[in-house]
Amino acid sequence: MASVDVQFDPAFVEETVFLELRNREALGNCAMAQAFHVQRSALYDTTTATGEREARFQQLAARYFQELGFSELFAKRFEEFPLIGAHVPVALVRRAWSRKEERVELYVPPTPGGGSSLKAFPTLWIGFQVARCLNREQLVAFLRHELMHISDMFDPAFGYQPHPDFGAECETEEDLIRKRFRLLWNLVVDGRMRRKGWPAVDHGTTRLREFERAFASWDPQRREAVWPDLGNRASCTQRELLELAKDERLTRMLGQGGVRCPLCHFPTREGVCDWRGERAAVAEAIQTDYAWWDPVQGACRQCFELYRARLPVMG
Amino acid sequence: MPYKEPEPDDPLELTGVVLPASDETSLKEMAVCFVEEFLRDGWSDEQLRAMFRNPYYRGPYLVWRQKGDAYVEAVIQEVRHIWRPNAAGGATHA
Amino acid sequence: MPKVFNWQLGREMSYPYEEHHPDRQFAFVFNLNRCIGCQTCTMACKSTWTFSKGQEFMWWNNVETKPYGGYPQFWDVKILKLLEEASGESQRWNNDVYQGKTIFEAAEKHVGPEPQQVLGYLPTDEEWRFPNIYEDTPVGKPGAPMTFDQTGTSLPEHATWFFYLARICNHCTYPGCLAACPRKAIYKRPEDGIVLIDQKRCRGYRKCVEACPYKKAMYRPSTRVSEKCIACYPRIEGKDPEAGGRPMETRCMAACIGQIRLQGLVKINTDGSWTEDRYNPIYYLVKVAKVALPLYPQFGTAPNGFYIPPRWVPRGYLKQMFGPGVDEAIDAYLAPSRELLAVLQLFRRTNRIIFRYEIQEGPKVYETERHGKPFVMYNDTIIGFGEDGKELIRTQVEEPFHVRPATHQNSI
Repeated sequence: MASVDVQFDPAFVEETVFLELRNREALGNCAMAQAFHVQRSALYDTTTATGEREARFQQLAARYFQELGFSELFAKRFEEFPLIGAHVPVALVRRAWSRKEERVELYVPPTPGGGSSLKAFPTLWIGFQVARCLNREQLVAFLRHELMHISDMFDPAFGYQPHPDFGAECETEEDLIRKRFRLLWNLVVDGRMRRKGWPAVDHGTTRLREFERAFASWDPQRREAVWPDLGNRASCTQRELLELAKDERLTRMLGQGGVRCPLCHFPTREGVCDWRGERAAVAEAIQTDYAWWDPVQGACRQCFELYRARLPVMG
Repeated sequence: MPYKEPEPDDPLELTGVVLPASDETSLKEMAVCFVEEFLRDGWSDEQLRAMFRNPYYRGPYLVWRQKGDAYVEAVIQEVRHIWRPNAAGGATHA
Repeated sequence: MPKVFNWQLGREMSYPYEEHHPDRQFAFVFNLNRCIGCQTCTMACKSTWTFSKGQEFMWWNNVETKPYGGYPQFWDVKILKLLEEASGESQRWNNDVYQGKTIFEAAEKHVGPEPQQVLGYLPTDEEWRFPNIYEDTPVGKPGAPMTFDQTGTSLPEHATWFFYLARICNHCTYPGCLAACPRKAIYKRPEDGIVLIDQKRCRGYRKCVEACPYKKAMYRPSTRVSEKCIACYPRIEGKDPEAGGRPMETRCMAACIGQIRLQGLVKINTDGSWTEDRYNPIYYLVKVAKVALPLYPQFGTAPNGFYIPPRWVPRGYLKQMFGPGVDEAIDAYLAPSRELLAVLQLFRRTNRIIFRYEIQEGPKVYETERHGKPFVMYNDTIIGFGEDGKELIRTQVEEPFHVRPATHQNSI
């Protein structure tokens, strides 16, 4: 069976070892910490070349990383996902500095002729906070959760496309759809982990609240139906999650709660939709330039003001 | 910041100001300038025509409104002849 | 643990080392009524000392918005909470004597397998990551979220408030970092009381990072040793070319746009008390006018950074931050005495350290009543002298008024 070469960023390794041993010390288990610090302290006085000194610190930390069981913990996780092993030669584990910066990404080299394919030796990038390593159960849950996502990307049944068509008109829309899509995918992964008997990742605010907030525009009945449905799915496809994630509010119709001005395409929250009275002349002026435009689509305040200012001049 | 009440002669709103109309020569020069700017940046003929027809780009649009398709096409070809005599029709830009 | 006397607490307290004091002490006063949060001080320090590899997250000087901000995040809330839990009581004062426990005393009582010299915690990567979080975020009207309080800025206490707290290492008299270091790699210089981490001796245990309640000791992963604010000691030694051999203020002090900062070197007696030095501006502000107060004195480290409290902030918050002298300090500041008003003009008039001032009396400008008290303003001249007795600056209470000649109104 193909296995993944898991490479750890030395900074990640050193910090993990330091914090883990410090934790143990705080709980009264001092022997290993003391031995580590004695050996580490000795390295400070090393007068060899910088490169070699650096390497010695890293090697010491790597040894303890192994002894503390972290290497094995990571290796076992990859064994649980044979699809990843079959496709991914290298996984890089890196230190992230905050929750925002944590990400698990698949880097795919571009293929000739444009685009990219998962078939071409991808690299798995796993960036997360060192603090996660201090709770083994949570670390395992986190890794399983992320790796299940990656495994899905290689599962033909999931139908993963690296650059799917979001059906969005601008970056704002795309970001929104992408966020909602990821949340829905998380729900499916959560359910599958639960059914495997794997402990869940602890989030603080529950997944349910996250879901309710992100899909607040839906009818409560729809939310109540989708939530258990996704949670009980054995599988799904990327396409169906993307369809669900589309926000019906994001239309080109500002008059119906959309986000973009049909004239200038800038995202706006304040559209002009009332064209009665004096504004009728402004609407007419706009239509002279934009024959396809219908006042019901609305216009942003800036475009409105521009056309209104032009009226006395253009006649 | 202190809030200033709009005064009758300083309404703090967008005001349209009339500038004297350009003569034929100036109009031609402006049109040439518009085309040259983007043609030298690698735009195709199709992209240049689209710019002239888009009311959002006021300057080129007014040229097109006043002079029409044929005039704009002639300007494009004239400028292309000067700056890209060997390329045909224009390669696409990014 | 040995006992040392902490004048800020009005009593003796435990400390791992015997009492010992420098000849002079680096000390400073920040006037929080003036801080505009421009962060020039932060950038001055960053561009001087912490722009290299491994120092990316370090801000030896930082300006945080209170009450919600903090670098690292919630540093004060967390240590105060630990203190309260460990000591089993809140931090009470009885007049000017602190009744609660300090971080040293709390550690003494700390029952657990790991002997801890100082009560503290190690901030996570994430807590260091966003130095300016909650900047400009005020406390809103209680019970009315997301509403604009029409009377939020009425005095004496704003209902909607925030303020900027500028912080550097306090070069404490009884430093937490120094107490915690297992290798004694941290020391206090006898000539100026500046606390430094010996870069050759440090072994990166990070006990100092855990122990400093103000979280101004920081671990550098690229060198694997810890670093902290060094009070720009080469400048105090007169080694900066601009100084001309005379003691100069730190970069963060010199850069202060709002002119909120004043730094000095105060003389210290062997018992740790400040030698009476009546016309030293720092001595005057802290000991005579009593308008500048220490930051979180209840930690017990006897910080040498003093703050004039912001007048608009609710007193309860200020008292837990600056101790019991808040009401008197604000009273003194609101209707300043003649001398205080003159001394306040010294802030940032020079980058050289002022060792002594003299006031030459000037004419009365006006008199009025402020907050129920009589206030008279005189246009006195105040002169600042350097260590060598030479005059450094001379300025007046009233800003000078220049009238341009009519013939050349556009030029100076």
